[in-house]
Amino acid sequence: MKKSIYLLALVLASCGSPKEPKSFTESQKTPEIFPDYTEVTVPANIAPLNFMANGADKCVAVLTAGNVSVVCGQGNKVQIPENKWKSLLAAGKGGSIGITLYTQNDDAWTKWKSFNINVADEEIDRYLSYRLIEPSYVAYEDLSICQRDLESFEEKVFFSNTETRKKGYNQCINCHSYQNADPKNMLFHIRGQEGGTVLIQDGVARKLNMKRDGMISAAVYPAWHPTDQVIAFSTNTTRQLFHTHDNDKVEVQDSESHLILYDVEHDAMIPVEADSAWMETFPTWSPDGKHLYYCSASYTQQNMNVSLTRDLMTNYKDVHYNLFVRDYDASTKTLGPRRLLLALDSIGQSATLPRVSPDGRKLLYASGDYGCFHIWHSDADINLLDLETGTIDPLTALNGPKSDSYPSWSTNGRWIIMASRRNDGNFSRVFIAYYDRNGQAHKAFELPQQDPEFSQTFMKSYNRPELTVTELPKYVVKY
Amino acid sequence: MKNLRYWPAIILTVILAVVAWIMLYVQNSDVLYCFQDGQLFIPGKDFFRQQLIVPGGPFTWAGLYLQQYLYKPALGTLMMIAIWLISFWALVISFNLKGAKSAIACIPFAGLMASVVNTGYWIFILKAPEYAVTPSLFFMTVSLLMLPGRFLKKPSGIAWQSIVTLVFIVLGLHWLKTAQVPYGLRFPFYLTLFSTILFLPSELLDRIKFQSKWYISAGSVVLASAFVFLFCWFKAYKDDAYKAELKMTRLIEDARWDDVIKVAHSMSGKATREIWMFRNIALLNKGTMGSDLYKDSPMTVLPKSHAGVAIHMVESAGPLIYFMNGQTRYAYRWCMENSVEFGPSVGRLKIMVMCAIIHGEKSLAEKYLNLLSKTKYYATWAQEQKKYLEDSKLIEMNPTYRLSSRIYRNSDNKVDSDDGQCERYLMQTLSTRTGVTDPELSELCLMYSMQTCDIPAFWQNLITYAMLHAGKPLPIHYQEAVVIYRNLAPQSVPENLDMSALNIDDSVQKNFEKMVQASIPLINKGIDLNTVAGQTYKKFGRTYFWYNMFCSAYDIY
Repeated sequence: MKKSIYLLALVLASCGSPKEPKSFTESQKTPEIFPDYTEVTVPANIAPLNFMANGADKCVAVLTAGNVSVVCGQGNKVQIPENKWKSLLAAGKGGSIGITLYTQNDDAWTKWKSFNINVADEEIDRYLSYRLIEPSYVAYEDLSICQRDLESFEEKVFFSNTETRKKGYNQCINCHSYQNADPKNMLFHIRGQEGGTVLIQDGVARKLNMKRDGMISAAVYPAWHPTDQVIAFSTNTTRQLFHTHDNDKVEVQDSESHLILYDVEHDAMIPVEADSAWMETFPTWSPDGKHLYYCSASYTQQNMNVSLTRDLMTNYKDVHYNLFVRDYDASTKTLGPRRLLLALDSIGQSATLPRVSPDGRKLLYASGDYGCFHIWHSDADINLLDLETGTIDPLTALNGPKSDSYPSWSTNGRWIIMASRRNDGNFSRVFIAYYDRNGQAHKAFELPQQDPEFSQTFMKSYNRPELTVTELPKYVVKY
Repeated sequence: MKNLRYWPAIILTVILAVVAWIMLYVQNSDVLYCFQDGQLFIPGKDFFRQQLIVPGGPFTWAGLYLQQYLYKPALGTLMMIAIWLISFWALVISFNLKGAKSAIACIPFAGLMASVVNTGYWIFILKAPEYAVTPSLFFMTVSLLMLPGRFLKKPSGIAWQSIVTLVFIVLGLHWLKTAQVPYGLRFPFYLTLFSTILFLPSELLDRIKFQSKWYISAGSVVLASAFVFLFCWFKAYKDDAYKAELKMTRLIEDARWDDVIKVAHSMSGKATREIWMFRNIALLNKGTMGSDLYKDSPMTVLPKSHAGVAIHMVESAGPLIYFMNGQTRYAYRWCMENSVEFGPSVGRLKIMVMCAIIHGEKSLAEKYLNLLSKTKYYATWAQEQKKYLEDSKLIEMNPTYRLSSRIYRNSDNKVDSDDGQCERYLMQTLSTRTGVTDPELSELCLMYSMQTCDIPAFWQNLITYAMLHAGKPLPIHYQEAVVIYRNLAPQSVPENLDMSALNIDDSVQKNFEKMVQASIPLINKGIDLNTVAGQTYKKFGRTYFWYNMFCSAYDIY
């Protein structure tokens, strides 16, 4: 009996809150934690920023904001209870949460230099959607478009290709896209046998064939017009190749690409006048819908004795995409002539995936040394073009040492979302950065996870992160 | 005698255990190892949750956990025997299978055991990596669920067992579909599934007059034992090349070059391309390629088709072959592609770690090492690799990394595609490689140019090889290649090649002339090449002349 009581007491003690160590050695260094949440700025409605103390046997963190103080830590992980985290965020809003971390190695505790997590006044759109896919080359198996509630750790599968595999189809799903970050009007592609583009309008879904006569491929890279029922796409002849030495691993090249507009109401494709010498891709609208921005490159075949694709294989580094813009006439649903916005080829750079800020004044794009597939280019960074002054901000604070790509804005323009491979160069993770009212980008933080080790063990990439203001609708198209 | 009513079941227990030991451990220990090599089990909530996504997730999770023990085939065999015998006794007790009746409980035992040993090459492309253990584990659970039926009153007991049987059959058939088990491999499963129906009316057998006689029981024991053994024996995939490939894979990973060569040499039938390439890797590492390249017959066959499964090299040993030939980017690529299609595995993770270390991708290697360090049997291996992350010079001293690392460092970047053809890519890429400065790489390139019979590439590689091996005699097979091309295409000999410096032995030239004299008249008579090849093999089969003339066209998969 006595033994049982001791055992029970031991179990209860081990379940209790960790205590701040009394004796320790002090270090003036900032602790090494994963994910790196030191001195980041977060929205006041984000889930707990759980982290691990690198290399520690045990750790205890003391988090303080205003008069709220929380002590937590189990093993080498700090997992903050959601209710306590919310109290910390509320107390730290417009200021910061101070964190003091103690780590234990070989029974000796170290107290590290305290760091802050700054809490911005502005919130972030609550829902984040992304595709989960292995960082594979050609093969795909289990793909899903998921939605994460940023205020908690809840993740829901919106659509998975396992649904269609039950019917014997091995299909790829991609390019989820929304009109004004509102999933009431959205679409995504299903590729392969019995595939098509699933268009959801006011919650009603229908499957469309987006490969029409005269198009070089089915429509890709969608961009909904902010007000009209028009979607801009590109159609691309694409090829995949593999690096034999570089860490960039995969190279995806277009040998031809054109813009096209899709009239949703009339289910009709509206061709966009184009010069065949130019490849045009990655369309995106200005918030007022008056302009369509996109990337375009021209490539002059260097060896006429081989095919264009063979020639591109050798000279893949000579393809540079510049930023262009066309005016949109809503009355005729037509695009005007192209205008060069930013000539990146002149500085040996290439732009992809532009996105205009909600106020229409800034344009984010991914920039790399060449080509159009920056997700695999370790030199790729997010840059910001000021559409009024034409100046480029390299956003050094938010970029990492590996590939940063697929940028997008929150609807209030205060948060930049991106897919980054900064952790290991291979697996994309979602990073979020604060863009303040003074036009300063802050250090990006990784999408928080309930178990901070998840990001290190999870074998899929987060692809095409997009914020939405509401939950995604239930997918209703049946095969 | 009443106390001994289960004696046939007791004797069968011993016999079944012995048969299973022979079939699994003695005959198929490399197959068991391969099963665990093709899966990954990570302790923890996240991994468990990931398994729950599909129906039957807890069984998948438990199967993956137990399948780790196949790393030690003896232990794994004992585990499998335990699972099957628990199922056997659960059935015996549940259905009161006393006397001769216990023989019918052997049927699922035979079915499950046969399903483990009959996969053949399908083992590399399993869509259900837990395949070896989960069906047995599921059947054991079903057998145990039958037990309450024994102790319930009559209609309820039989009703319970009938329901369990029905659910088992439905779920089993569903699993066969979702695991995409080829139809040619399904019979053992059908046998297991539908044999459960036989147990339900087993009480009726008590009405047979002589059922309880000892000689009937003894006869049933003999018949059941013979059935289990023969069924598994005939169902087991016994192809020599397949078994040699499995063995060589393990030996290559451990850099046991002599043993690799021995396995290739001991092949009684024709080798596959995989065996040929494994052996060449070993010869290169031992430095005996030039003298032993044609010691074994170069005539190769496609992997034997089994249950309609056509295997591609990139799906089986492609990543390892790419790695050992220094094409580490493609080794990594196919590990990733195969992980996507067939699930992550410790075997693939190990190659991905080695590739990441060679590529200098430290954080990526750490990610995979972190995963491996959580596994039951690869934590030590993972720990050992960490030293290569800290000090890349140590790679040079590791026989598994050494050559790959040097080839990788001696190459420039380009973008290309292998179109899923491992051997073709290696031949095309390495035989035409320029700017080679590494002696071993130069030998590899020379070998591939001889394999492709690309004469300009051969001369180019020979010059590089001779330059990088200055002062050393030219090995016999390279001399043979020089002689054949010098005779057949004299105009192709580069002007800058000093033939006298190669010191071609007169006997090589004479041997070539004898080969021509022996074969050309036969060919001129219209005798087909295969017949001529057969007639001349004994005398000339171990030369490059013979390979060049009769063997340079083969199927690549």
